[in-house]
Amino acid sequence: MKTPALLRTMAPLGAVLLLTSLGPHGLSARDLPTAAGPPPPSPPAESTLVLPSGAASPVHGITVRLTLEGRVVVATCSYDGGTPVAGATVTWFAPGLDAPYQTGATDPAGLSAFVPGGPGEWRAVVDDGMGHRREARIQVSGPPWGGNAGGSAEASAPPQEGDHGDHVHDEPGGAEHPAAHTEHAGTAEQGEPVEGPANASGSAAHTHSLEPGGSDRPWKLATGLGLIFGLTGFAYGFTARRERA
Amino acid sequence: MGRQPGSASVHIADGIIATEICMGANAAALGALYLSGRRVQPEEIPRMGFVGASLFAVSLLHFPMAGTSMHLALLGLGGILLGTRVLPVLFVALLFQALLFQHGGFISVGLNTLNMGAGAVAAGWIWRRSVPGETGRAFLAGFLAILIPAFLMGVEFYLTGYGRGMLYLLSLYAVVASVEGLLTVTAVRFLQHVQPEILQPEPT
Repeated sequence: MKTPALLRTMAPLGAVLLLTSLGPHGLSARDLPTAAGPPPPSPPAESTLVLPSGAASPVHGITVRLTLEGRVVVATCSYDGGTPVAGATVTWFAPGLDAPYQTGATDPAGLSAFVPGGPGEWRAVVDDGMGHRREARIQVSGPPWGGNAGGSAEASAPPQEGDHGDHVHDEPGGAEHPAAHTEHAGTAEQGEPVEGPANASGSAAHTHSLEPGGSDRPWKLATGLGLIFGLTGFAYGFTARRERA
Repeated sequence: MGRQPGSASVHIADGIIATEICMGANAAALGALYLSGRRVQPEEIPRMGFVGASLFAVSLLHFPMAGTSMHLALLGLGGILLGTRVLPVLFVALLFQALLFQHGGFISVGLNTLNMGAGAVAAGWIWRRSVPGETGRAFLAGFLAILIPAFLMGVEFYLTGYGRGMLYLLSLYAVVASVEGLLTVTAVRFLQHVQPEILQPEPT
């Protein structure tokens, strides 16, 4: 029988794969592509889906809603069930800058206000310190950027297991005043039809939108198969040794 | 996660069934794994490995159907090829599906193993009956290997308080199960031509 030799060679492969995938990020093949080549670019459209039926999702995320009221941007933060996110850190970023512009915190009603220093696209990153993190953006028009026209943007975090906060996906949507930030209304329109509401109850939405590493499927498949064959080799060696004993 | 009761999959995600029940099912699954995997012979291991790899990979191929999506599970074929030895194989395949693809759940892996294992073991049992008509047996094995887990899942959802919706969906699962049954017939026919001895139970 030729298989034993084959399996014995598979066992070290499985062990290496096992050790590789048990990295600091847990059992995940997401790191493998970076080792073998550049990671595939993740299209933003995949990560911008808000499941319309949030009730079916057992893990709740944060919804961040930015509204422009006069010169003030108000962030309204709530969990998916509607509970306000109290005491969360809100970090504001100026247009085009990665360094924090100002930090604040949400009050018991989940509100935090901020006055942007100029026009452009401001970002707010809300982190409740308990693994929920969400980013939202708002387009502030040129001076006077307040006035009567307000802008709003909404972000909702898909439940992410294991990598809270590492991958913040942005959902610019919920455009109530398209004139204030037409750019974002457009983004939302591009993003949503990818997995439309009709499809979102199926597994397609599950696999493509809720998995941060959805485009790594071939790698994950290879990892899983390698692990299974490696385990097979281990099991073979184990049982064969027991037979001899 | 997020897998809703409505997708034509027999994988239960985390957070749908109460954690206590899932942990109990995990304990029961461990017992079942021990019973089905004890005294496994080295000669059986390669077959188990390849069936496990097939089970792991095949459920990632999704086909759109009736507004939702379905995927093959090869549970019937696994039961035919492995008999009760399919349980540990299924467990490993489900574990990696949950860990790598969030397909099914990590906490609920024991429950899923028991659900699908029941179908697969039943398929193996049906196949080994000395009833004439191998095609019929193969189809029935593949068919019931899907329908039994779907029924068990429906019962579990009902007991958890999700109503009878899942049980009503059994008609949808019957379609999936028919496809699976036809596939099992094809695979069994093929194996009968190519390597008939693989369809016989392992000498233990």
